[in-house]
Amino acid sequence: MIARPVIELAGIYAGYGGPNVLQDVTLDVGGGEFLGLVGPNGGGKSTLLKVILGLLRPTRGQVRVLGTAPLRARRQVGYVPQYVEFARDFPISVGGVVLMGRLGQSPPLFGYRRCDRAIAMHSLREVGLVDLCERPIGELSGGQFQRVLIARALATEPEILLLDEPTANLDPRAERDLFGLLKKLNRRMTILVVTHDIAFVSEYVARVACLNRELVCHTTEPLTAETIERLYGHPIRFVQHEGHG
Amino acid sequence: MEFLHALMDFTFLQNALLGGFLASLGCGVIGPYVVVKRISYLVGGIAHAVLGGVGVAYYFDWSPFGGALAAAVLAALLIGWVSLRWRLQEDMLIGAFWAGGMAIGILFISRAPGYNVDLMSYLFGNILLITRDDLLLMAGLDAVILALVMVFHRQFQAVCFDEQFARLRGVGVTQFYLLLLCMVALTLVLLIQVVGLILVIALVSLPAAVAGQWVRSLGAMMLLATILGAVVTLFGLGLSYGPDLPSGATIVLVSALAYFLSTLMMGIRKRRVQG
Ligand SMILES: Nc1ncnc2c1ncn2[C@@H]1O[C@H](COP(=O)(O)OP(=O)(O)OP(=O)(O)O)[C@@H](O)[C@H]1O
Ligand SMILES: [Mg+2]
Repeated sequence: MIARPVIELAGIYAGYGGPNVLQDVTLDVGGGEFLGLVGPNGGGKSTLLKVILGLLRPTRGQVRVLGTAPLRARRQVGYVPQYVEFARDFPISVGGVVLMGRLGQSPPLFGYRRCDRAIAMHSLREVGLVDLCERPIGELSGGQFQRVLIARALATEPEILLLDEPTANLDPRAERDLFGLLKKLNRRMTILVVTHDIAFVSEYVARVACLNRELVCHTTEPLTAETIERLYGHPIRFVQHEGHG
Repeated sequence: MEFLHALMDFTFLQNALLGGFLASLGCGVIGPYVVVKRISYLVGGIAHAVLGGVGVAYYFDWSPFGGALAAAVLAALLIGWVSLRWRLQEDMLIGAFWAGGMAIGILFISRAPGYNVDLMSYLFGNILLITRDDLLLMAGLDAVILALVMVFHRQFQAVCFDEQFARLRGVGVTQFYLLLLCMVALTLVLLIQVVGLILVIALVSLPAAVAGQWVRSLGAMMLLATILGAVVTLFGLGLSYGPDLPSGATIVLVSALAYFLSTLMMGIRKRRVQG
């Protein structure tokens, strides 16, 4: 079922100058796969995404993305960060932010093309925010803002989509919509999503990897109580979400 | 009104006004980037370091304008690189360039043969001495700035907005940041004759900051800041002409007043919306 891997991590060690944050992580993600990445706070999930994006160079081990170095594959990878660093009062509209996703795709000189705008609008429609297109970015709620970031990543038309806790600010309904959308997108792209919502992951995602500095497990089975206990160090009660669809 | 009559009669006033407008165009276009990227302090550092170049140029009897231009670009690249490399110590490093540049300038000027240098006009500007040649140079700098902004606006915007995302989209963040700072340097040189290098930072940032309070896109900010800059120059020049006040300082004071006024009005409007 797993096609040629689009992300290949072999024996990765990485850190920020201090002790290693990632230890001997080996993981292949197949083309078209929908992988969930779970683990405790500080477990290194965001760090792993940075390694895949080439934002952080591993101290040991090999990363290949789409068969090449992360830096060269970058433009084919969409990324929804956990935190953003920019000022919320930046004078730009929602549509303007999403259009920025076209930067690597559109020719580098002068303005955006008509098709760039069409793609940006399409991405906004997919996350259900077309009505907010003209709204200044500073006037959004946390959840709306998070969906803008997702639309921005979609506008890059990526082959691989990395999402770092995209549901952190979403209400249950928006969260369900988002996972539905990811499921749909999964038909045309590989998806790796970091989340703490274990019940949801096991419901939607084909395979789950658990990361706590090292890769504790990756399984295609639904997560069992034991694995979760091993991962987080204490039992976690499954919160069953209401039925969807 | 006396000013308007004088404006009809005297070429030097027409030149001054035109120079002020050309400078407003440069800082109207560049100022918004400086404001949204929050690098006024860094830009202040570049501006003051320019005095070093002017001093050296005087000492060796080169063209002070060339010295200012070279020093501005050099300072922009150095300070930009240093601030990228040592982000955490950015403040101190900029301060060192700021003071160090000025000190070099003062030392060289004090040793310059003949010490008859109109240092004051570099420090505080002398808009009334703008010549036709100066105007041509200023128009040239404006053209360079405008052309670069038209071609690369998206990249500059992305670098100002979210560096990490820009980098992931394959934008050369370091190169574009340094290019932007070089354009800031050109703007500073444009402004030196108008308000002097001590006060340039005010004209770069204040009109753009006012604009930022009223409009919600970088492009609109540029347009509004340019218009505001021109209005402020006109008023400043007019006010200073009658009583023979220093025009640079008057222009800066008018723009500071405009900023306070705008902030006040913004506050009232917000209160009304919330109340
Ligand atoms: N920029 C940084 N500089 C230094 N250390 C960092 C940095 N970012 C993360 N770390 C450290 O690396 C470890 C892993 O962080 P990471 O952000 O990858 O965790 P995470 O699994 O994403 O956690 P969370 O669930 O809280 O988002 C943490 O111990 C953290 O202290
Ligand atoms: Mg994280």
